[in-house]
Amino acid sequence: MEVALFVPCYVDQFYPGAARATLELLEKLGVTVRYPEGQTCCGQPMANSGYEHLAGGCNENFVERFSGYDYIISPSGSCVLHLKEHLHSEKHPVQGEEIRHRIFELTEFLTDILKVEELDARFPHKVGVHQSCHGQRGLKLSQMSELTAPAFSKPGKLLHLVKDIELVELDRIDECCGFGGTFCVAEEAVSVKMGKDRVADHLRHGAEYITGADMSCLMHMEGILRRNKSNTKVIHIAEILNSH
Amino acid sequence: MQANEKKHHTLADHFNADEARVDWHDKTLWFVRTKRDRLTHDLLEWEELRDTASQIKSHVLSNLSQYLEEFEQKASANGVVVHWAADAEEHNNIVFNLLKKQGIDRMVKSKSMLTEECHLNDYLAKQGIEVIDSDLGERIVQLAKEMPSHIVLPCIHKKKEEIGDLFHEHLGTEAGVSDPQILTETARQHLRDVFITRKAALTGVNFAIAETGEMVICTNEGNADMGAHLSNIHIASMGIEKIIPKRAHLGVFLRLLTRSATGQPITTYSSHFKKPRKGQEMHVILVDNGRSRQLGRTNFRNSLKCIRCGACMNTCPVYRRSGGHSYHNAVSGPIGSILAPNLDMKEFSDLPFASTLCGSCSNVCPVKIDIHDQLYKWRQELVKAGYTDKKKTVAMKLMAATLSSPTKFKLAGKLGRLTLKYAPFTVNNGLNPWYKGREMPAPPKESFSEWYANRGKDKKI
Amino acid sequence: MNSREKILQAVKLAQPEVLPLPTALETPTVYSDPVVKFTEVAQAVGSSVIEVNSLEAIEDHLKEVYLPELQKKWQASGKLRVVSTSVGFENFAEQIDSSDIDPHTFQDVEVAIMKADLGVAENSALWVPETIIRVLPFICQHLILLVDKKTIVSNMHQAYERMGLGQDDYGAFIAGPSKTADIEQSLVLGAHGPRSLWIYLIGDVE
Ligand code: SF4
Repeated sequence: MEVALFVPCYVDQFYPGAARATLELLEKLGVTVRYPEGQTCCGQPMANSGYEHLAGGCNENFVERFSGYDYIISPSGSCVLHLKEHLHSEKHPVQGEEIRHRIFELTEFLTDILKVEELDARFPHKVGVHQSCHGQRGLKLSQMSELTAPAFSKPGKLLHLVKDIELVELDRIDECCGFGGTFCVAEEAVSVKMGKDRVADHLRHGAEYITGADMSCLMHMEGILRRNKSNTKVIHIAEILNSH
Repeated sequence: MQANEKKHHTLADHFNADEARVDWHDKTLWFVRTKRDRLTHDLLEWEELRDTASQIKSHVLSNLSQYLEEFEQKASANGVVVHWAADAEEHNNIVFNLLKKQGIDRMVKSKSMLTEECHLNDYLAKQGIEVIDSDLGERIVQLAKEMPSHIVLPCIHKKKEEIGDLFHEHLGTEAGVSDPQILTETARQHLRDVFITRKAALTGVNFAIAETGEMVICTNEGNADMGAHLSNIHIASMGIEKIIPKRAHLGVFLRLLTRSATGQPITTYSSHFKKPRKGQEMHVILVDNGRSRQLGRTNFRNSLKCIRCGACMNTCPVYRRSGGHSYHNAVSGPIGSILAPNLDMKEFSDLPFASTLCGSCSNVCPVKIDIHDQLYKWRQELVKAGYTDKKKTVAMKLMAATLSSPTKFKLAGKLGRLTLKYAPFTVNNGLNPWYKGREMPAPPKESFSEWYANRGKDKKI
Repeated sequence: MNSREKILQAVKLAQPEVLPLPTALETPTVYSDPVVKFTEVAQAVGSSVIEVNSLEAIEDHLKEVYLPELQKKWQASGKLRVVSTSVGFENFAEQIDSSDIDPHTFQDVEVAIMKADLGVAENSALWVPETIIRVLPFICQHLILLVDKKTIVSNMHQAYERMGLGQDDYGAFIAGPSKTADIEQSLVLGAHGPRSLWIYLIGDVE
């Protein structure tokens, strides 16, 4: 199986560890991983700001770089959701359409396609799980607290395979952290307040780490943790699943 | 007010100046959301009910003209006078003329978000007609000379001490009294007097049934009934989207409405008005005011399914931390943000951006409106129509160029790691607001691509 | 074109092709004992429920328990105005049988006794059709509703199925005393309507 790794622009620049862990984890599980040269962005920053019509060039680049693989994997639920819903190409419409079906967020790929049932990982810490909205409500990585439906969680299932990890319970299991792309600066006051409240929930329950399948939310919460000189850290779920 | 002062982010910023109050507001509304969860999670068929309601509404919207005519015919046959108002002004005029004809200059009104949308109270005040709102929450905001901040809980932004002060000033309670029990009793006495003495009553409508011509009005307080049954003339105002085809459909909607709204199994009163009382006049005003326009906007048509339960507000993490008034519109919160731009794209161009698109609203909505998708779509429409900051457009064009070219992107990345300036989420910000409440991510030694390129040297296949 | 035509025209142009109505719910929740569920929910929303087997039993209870308690709890004193639109309480309550009375004259009613046609277990709502005076169940300080146990259905779908299109000019589902939580979400009973609701569930009359 040959998969291509899509590393969102800000992960590449600021959180190379999350991307490395994704790559190494997949390789450990016997997958051949390529990292296509020349990749840039999923186009979401423009689209969510109302400029989807400007994302054409970005989309074409994406399709050119990512056609022809069995799967495309990314450690970011938000980018994956955006591509699944909005990627299209004028030049290569068929390939564009195909990518929308072949792109997966890491944890859903691990549970749904690779059907991972065991992991050789150990992480002896108290960890709070942040359910990023686009992954959870968009990609349906976990059951949503609003619905009357059976509970499940793909990231949760994987974390339970990790030795010595202790997952903390939260008061609000799936409240948004307030990142929201350009929202984080356009609505600075509300965004920061949401982030503070989210972080406080984890701290109240003794989390040493906050993890999740979306680095952007974690980046936002990390900014708040560090501003408050907290010892609690953020860590991408791939890094936990790939830890020894 | 300056243009910017009225925008959501500015108003939200003011609201956040008092953090303890934001916490209190957030917790109060979250409490309502948890009450809703308790009731809905108990009902196995909840999701099926939502689906059914959504489909009934889809059907209604696809056949609305016929249902409106059917309702008109049945209601008229019941002895109810049916009026049509193309816009807010016409609606207000109709009300005024009905009152004038009877020589009435004082009216009692129960909750109707439509009359807020039409600014009826202000209009009637100018004509010398006094209107008293009888819903407790609405009476409170009326005394405070404010708009409701929530469609179901109009004074949810007010603390009981503030309400105590208002009552002391206007209704003569003792200074410093803030016990909800005492304040409610005071309002009860005050409004009983109003009910007994007013000859005209205006109410909203929750559901209008085409099949029977009935209008169903739901309250917990009993104020709509008190007003209507003691009046000589009862005027009901409703948006044209409030129609449902059959009486049996009430079974679906009444099960959903209050569970979603407040976490009660049903409102205390669900009153079915079919014919006027002997000797009474009953009128209904069918109001368009932009609804037919919204019906024609394929992307936003579904917003007309709304049954005004307020669940999307209670669950909205932004609403809870910015307050209803930050939406500067009669209907606030997520649903307000997709309804308002239809009324005035320019004035409300900020609202679809006042969201993280987290999607919780769409999940609680009892009629399954795709609220967060519509927010996304409004953003596209507003940008295309030119209602956004020109500076932002320039920045976005630059970003688009960067992201479509791997070479430019590589270069930008190198610079970006120093300042975060080019990182997409902070684009267009000279003085970066990110930094106000958050640290920047610490730039790593090397990017992933750089690491990968080096790794590749000894690992290339 | 007048506004009616203008609106209808605009709606016709804007509405899409007709979409189908959905079918009824497959299996809405039904309760093995609707009366038990009804009672549980009624109490949860602030009503008091009592089961009786005859009209005399109601009268006895009213005289021996209800009124003394009412006087104690609400410090009601003097002669209380008790009215009834339901027959059988003549030596106890003022019998109302004419709709020609000005509704305002009921503003001093302390207790109103009325009949409900049907009850719904899932939410304790009782269907109270217009009985002579429309404002009565709202304007009284305390409301008493009598309902035949056999009429309690499980859910709202069943309720509307029973009711059909209805003959009533007006009617209301009433579930509990009037209430508000508008001030900081603190629940207060007795907003504009009755401060209390007593429900007499009438079983098989011996
Ligand atoms: S949009 Fe949905 S959730 Fe929001 S008020 Fe309307 S019906 Fe309720």
